[in-house]
Amino acid sequence: MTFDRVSVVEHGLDDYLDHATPASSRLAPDEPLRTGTTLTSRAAMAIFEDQLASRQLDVAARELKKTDRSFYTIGSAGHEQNAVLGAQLRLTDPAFLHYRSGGFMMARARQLPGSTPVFDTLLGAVASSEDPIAQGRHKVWGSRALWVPPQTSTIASHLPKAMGLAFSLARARRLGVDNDLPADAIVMCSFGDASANHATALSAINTARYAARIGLPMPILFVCEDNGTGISVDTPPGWIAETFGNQAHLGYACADGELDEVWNVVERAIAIVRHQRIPLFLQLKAVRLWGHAGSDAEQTYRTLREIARTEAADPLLRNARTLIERGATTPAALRALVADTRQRVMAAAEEATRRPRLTTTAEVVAPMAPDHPVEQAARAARPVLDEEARRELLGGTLPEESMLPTVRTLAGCINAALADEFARRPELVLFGEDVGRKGGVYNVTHGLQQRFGNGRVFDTLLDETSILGIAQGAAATGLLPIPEIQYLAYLHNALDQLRGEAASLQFFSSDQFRNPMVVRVAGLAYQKGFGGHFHNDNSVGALRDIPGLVLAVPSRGDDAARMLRGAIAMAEEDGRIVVFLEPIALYHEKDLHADGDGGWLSDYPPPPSVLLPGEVGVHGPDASDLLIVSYANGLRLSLQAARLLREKHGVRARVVDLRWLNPLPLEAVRLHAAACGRVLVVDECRRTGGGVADALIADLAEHAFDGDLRSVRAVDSFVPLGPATAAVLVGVDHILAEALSLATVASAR
Amino acid sequence: MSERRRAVLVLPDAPLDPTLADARAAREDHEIVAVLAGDGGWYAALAVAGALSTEDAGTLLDAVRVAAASAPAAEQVVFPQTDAAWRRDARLVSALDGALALGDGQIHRSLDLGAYAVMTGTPAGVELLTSALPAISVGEQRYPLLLPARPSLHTPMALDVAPQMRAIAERLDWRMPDVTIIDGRGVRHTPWSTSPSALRDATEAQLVQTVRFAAALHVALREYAPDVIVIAGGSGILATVCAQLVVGEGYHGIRSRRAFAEAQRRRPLVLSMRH
Repeated sequence: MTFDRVSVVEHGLDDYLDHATPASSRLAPDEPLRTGTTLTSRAAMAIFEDQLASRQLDVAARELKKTDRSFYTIGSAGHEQNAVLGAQLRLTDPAFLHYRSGGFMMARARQLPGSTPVFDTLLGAVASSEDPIAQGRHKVWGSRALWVPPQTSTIASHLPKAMGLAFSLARARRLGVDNDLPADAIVMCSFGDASANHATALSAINTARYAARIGLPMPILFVCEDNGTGISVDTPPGWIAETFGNQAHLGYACADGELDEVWNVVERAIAIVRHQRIPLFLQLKAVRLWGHAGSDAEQTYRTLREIARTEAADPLLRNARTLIERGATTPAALRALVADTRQRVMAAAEEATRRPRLTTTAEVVAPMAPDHPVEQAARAARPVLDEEARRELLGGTLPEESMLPTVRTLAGCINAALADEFARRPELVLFGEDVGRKGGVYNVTHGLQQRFGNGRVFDTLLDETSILGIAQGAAATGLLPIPEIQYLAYLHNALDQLRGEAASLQFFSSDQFRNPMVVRVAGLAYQKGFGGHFHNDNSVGALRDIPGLVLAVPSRGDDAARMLRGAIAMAEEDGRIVVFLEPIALYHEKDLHADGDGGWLSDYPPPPSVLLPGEVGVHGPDASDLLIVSYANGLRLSLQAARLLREKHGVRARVVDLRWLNPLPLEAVRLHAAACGRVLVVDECRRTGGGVADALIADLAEHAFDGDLRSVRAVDSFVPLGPATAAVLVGVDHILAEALSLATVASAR
Repeated sequence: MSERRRAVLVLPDAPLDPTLADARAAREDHEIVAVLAGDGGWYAALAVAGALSTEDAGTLLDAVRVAAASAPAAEQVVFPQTDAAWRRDARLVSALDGALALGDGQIHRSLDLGAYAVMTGTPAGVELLTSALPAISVGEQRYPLLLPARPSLHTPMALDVAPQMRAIAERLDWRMPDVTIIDGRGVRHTPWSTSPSALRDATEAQLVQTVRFAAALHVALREYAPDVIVIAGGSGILATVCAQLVVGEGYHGIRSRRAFAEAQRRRPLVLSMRH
């Protein structure tokens, strides 16, 4: 009995080839493998070569692991029939791949002269900085030249963006946005049978069906590589076909059996998606050889008999038999091929281990969040529309000419800034729940659909995961998406689409793929006691925790317009993911200190005026008794407190608006802190919720700020309904009390 | 008996018979894992790989010579892409790209050797190119280097002679190669999945397209990881070109001209069969 199942499977193929007898007649290279198939003998042999190369890559990764020279052993063994898809899909059909896609990649690379898929894969396994896609940051299947954006695909989180790209293909074309994808391109996305149960998978498939139902083109081929198991848990027999085989607005096919049968089914499936532009679910039968990964001891949850039964269904063994029996090749030729492949892959593996790896922090993080402020500012400055054109596109009256209070609020300024950007940037699209015909639940997108058409401003179904998936897909076509998440609390439902997917793309692709976007989110608390937690969520920790993500939080209308331009420029210039968090309670606020004072209205700053991270708002620059640092609702409350401090207590407080919560404007805060000597941070987010207070205070402490530091923050609670909100949120009284205490202690010192 | 090293065999542009004799000797001493060719060595490579008989390869080579003679007269320009230490020089690369863009369709890249690019064109095209390129020296050699009266093969200028070549090629007995042969686009034609007609098509295409020797060797080094590169014959230029590509690739950890010289002294990585 042996648990070295790699040797057992290898020996199984050798043993068959040693004893097989050649067919009585040989097929010519261009003859079909069987009557009725378009798969020629030559093409079948090419697929087998690719499958064998993929298999040997798995063997090599495990060999190198024994001496700690490779770092990834999740393999493709048993899944190699996916090479049939690699051979038939075009290089201009984007592919979002499952992690068992070795066969697919070998076959796809064959279509591109000069490609080196074996070595490229090995460079990934040994984490070399010469890996052409991830440069050693992860073992991924990806390639710019092969139109394979890198995925880790462990939790089916790549399906929404694949769906989003299929959704966006026709739209980008209609809007005249340039990309390298032809009109009949289709999108392929593969995943395992266990992964098909993930919410993200179901979300993407549901949205694909929904789109087809309402008559939108959705040319996507979902490929479920069904090996019947998820690590140690079996998928109930028949589950995939039962679940996906009979859904409205979703084609279904099952590829199983001999190589030419798989080829035929795949050929038909691709043709349906390509010509009918509808989603199709292809179940591709596979087996999983050698456990989930190199570290998975399969014998702890499976009997040896079960393992042996799986191994007997090895697709390579089956294909070898088919090829010999059909007369496409001979046992001797296949023996030579197997020997050649084993030898060259192992030799290449040795060579790969000689290649360099990433060593410094700078090398690792280089592609994650490119930042070129000068170029971003230049990008924000152009194109410039002449006044007449702008006037026409904006409906006759320029927003800066309007004295209507509704135009000068935060909501009004965001609306005007969006209109301005839509007028000068044809690649912008805006979408989300209720943003189109209704104009947004808070009227922020009012009139945009009427003005710019439903190709550019459109409603989606109620699914945040799909909204962010569409954003990623749209970005891949060259559009610049501005998705809206209706409430901050709803974002958490879909957060991994930002964290694990959108924000990681530049990192895992060495900046060869980008999905720039500006995600508008309505959020934060203080809605006059309205709505409760789900409409007043005050947690930004989850966003601040995403590497490279930019978090903009405007508090005033004029700032919002300029920051929105900055956000779009950062996305366009550097591919950044920007979350633009809009404080709901301030959307329609007009006043600052008293009813009717109009202190929260602002004049609309026309383009190209722009704000970028690091640029803070300073209120009371000449005051220096105390520095109050805040943002959003907290800023307005701080300004109210500052006036009371000045008028009633003779304390002159300077108030700084952070504007950007990621990256934080730490240098600016340090400068103002040094000038004032005492710092109060007013953070409307939860006390321990990963808000900004901890980061600001820690930075000042670490930079030897020797004055007194205090903070006021919201209570660790969900936001309740009605007047009880005051019991958990920061109020003017809290700020005032803490400021006075700070001023007193400090002046007593 | 010494171990048989896994070798990539490179066929130079040289007379067929002695080249094939060298290749036979190389196959005795080494395990040949892939065959490739620099420029006109392709026809010898076809014979070495068994895709054509020696006689058919000779017929084809003669046909190419006739075609070359009847194709429009051309001139060639050689321009380096690396410095004297064999490091890729981005300025030279972009200078060439820029100059070629001004060539008005009259000058084409015909051969990519990695460290050097060879351009073929009409005298007017060559004039446009050379006037746009910077004058530089690498070692004692001055560039751009002009080679007058050359065949216009591996460019669209040879499109008119392609049909006569095709007529001859179609009469030959194309077979499955018995060793992998890598063409001038970096495509691998293996003994298992090659359609002889596809190999014939690739041969014809090569007549009118850039021969990318650098791409072919790149594929050979990465996908076959040979112990040694053997050059049949005594072409000094190909040996240097291979050495430069080894350095450019960082193969076996060799990343400089000096490191190559040291490695070569210990045990040759690039082996010319005749010196």
